Amino acid sequence: MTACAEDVDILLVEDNPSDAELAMVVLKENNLTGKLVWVKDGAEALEFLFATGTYATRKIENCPKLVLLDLRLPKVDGLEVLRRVKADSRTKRIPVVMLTSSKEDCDVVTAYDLGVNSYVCKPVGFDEFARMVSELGRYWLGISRPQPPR
Amino acid sequence: MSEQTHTTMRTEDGSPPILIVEDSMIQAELLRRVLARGGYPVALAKDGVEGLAAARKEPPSLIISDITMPVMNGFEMCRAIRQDAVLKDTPVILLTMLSDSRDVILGLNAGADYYVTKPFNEQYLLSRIKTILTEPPVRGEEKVEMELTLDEQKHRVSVGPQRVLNLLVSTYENAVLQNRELTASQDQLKELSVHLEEKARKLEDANKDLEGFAYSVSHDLRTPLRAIDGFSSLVLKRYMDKLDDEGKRLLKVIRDNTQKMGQLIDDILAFSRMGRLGITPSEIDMDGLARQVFEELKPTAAGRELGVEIAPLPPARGDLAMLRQVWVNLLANAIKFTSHKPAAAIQLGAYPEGRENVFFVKDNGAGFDMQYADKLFGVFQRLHGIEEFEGTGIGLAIVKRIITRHGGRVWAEAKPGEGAAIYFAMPSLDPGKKP
Repeated sequence: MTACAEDVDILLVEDNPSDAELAMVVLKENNLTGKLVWVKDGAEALEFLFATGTYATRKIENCPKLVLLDLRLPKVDGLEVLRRVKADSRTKRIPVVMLTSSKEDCDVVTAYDLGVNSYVCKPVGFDEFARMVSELGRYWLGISRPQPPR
Repeated sequence: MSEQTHTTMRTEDGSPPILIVEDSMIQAELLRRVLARGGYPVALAKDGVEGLAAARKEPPSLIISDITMPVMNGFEMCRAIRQDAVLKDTPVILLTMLSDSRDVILGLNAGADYYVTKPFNEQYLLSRIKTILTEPPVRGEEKVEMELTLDEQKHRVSVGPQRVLNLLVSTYENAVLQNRELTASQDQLKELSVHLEEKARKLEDANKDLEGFAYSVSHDLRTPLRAIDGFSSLVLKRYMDKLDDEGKRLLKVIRDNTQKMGQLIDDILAFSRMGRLGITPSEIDMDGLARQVFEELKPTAAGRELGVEIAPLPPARGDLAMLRQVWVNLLANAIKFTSHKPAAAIQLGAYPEGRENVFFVKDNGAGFDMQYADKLFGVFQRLHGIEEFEGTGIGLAIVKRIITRHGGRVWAEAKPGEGAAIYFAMPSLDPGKKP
């Protein structure tokens, strides 16, 4: 299910293995997981995106077409990952969709101020969750036009 | 006025009593107890006339008298004592509130020796009495004529210098004492306010904790729920052919309940949010708002016969989002609880009452037994079976919270099977104007 680190469509940043599995099940049903990498915390996400640490051999120009970023993450939280991605000219064009379990909207404004491309709340019901994830995947990987390769 | 009305408590050695002249029974009793603790015999009288009679009957060692009394006040009685051949040298202490500086001059002219302030300090009073009894004030000194201006009024005083000195010094002592007590209570107040500030800070912290808690609840409880629902769904899908009907039904029950729990979490959060969020008040067109909300809810009753009457509603002052929520909850309830009726009749109206406007939503729905009326606005209180009407029982609790925070009240009237009416009163926009 995990793609080689060089050619990635989706970077899934999710610490909860159940949520990650459910998301990947849905994406697979929609034939969207061919090139998916799953990382479990904010620090690993940053290493991947900036091609450092474990991912030092990766080329930073090979940006994923979509980052699904959970808000609350171990080590480095989602908003901090977002801030660093959007503050760097090499990564700022990567579409980032923030996923949160909370309907409390205190982070929405912060996320948009930091330049998030979309902010969605994960529904409790699996049917709605499945619809949401597949629509996100289809939109960002199919409908939306990605940045041209450099 | 009988001479027998005063009471005397003698000590065994038969020394003369201290006469207390005081019209307030409570003050007299307080004073009597203090003197009794000091070991003095006490006689009581409740006004100047009675005091004079008591003193003549049994000359006291000392008179402690209130100033303001019916029949004969303290000054008049003091003057009468000074003119009495037997009693003229008896020391007299006047009780004062230290509220009028002219009392000093009146006391001097009446021949009083000392002042003690009310409320009195027990220790000071006892030590003062001891001094007076062991060293009685000087008598027979030559009087001096003095003129004094107080409050732009000239006062003539004719009195011996020792008495002036005694009275003034005792007054001053009392003032110093009171000042000290005031300073002490001021310090106490300061300490108290520091304490209160600390408490307020702690409360604020606790509130922040609660906010954080609500946030965690919404996040942390939802995630496992999604997993339960998600994996149940995967089992249903992937093992469809291996599960019999009962197995499928059981998994469906799990899924239904995760939905319900998700709803409960949302409701707890909505309820807590209504307590935490600040109110942004503005003048709200309640009439327009209620009609708009009703239009939005109408589709939920599609296919039903829904009779709605909305009388013109007066405006109110409050938070738009919150008051919208009030109408949403009340109208949704009315639509829900009339769903078993062939023809639903919902009525919205308002009437002025005192400085408030009372709004109401009446329906001809299921109603409820008034003996449960006090439960109606509680969190997660449901008066109907879940099979009968769905819902978590948070709607009216939210309504109550919002209206209470807007300075209003809520209540309900109902009859089982005949319908319910929910009322809420909010301050009128112009409370000065009578409707």
